Amino acid sequence: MSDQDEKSSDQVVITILSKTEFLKIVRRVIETYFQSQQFQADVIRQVVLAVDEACSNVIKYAYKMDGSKEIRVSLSGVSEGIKISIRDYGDKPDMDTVKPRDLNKVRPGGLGIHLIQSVMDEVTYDLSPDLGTCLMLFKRYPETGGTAP
Amino acid sequence: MSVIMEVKEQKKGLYILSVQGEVDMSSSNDVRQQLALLLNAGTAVIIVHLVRVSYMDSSGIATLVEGLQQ
Repeated sequence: MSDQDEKSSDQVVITILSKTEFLKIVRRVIETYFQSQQFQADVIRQVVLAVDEACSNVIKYAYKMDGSKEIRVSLSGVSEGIKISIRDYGDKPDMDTVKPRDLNKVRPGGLGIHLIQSVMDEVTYDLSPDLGTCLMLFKRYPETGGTAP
Repeated sequence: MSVIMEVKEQKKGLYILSVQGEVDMSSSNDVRQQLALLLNAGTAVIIVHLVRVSYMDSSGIATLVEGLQQ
């Protein structure tokens, strides 16, 4: 999936300012969309958390807590599952630091990447835009072999 | 603020911090500040009551771990 995907009939796109208080709006949209696609409640909770963590990372790292920037979240259904893209226009991530950490070490921070990768079936960073990043997530429909809850 | 917090002194040196709502990046700092107030006051035991928390992201977990490690 590219940042320039053609719009499909069941595509939902939401653009928010990079304010932490708007994260709950994204959560409600993700929750509602996945409910409409007949995902189980526990899977929906996990996906909501994964997207929330991704948007939080954008605010924290790409935008460095500047609440005046844009985050665009789009969802679209394809034959095997749901594609989610999270587009920002801030600093690109250092991919050497984008990796899950050792969970045996009890310390604050660094859980977001682990949660995203645990929940989603595919996680891809598109660093090709001149400005910013497009994080592409994919969740398979349960009957096509999605991650077990 | 998307969380409501209530602090009760159960007995001397033992406080219960009850949190209600969604603990995310916008509200975890409020929880962090409340925990810091209790910790800086020398509270021996803090029980954080989370049964009415409907959602918590990694910033909320980090807040609790920070409190645990102080």
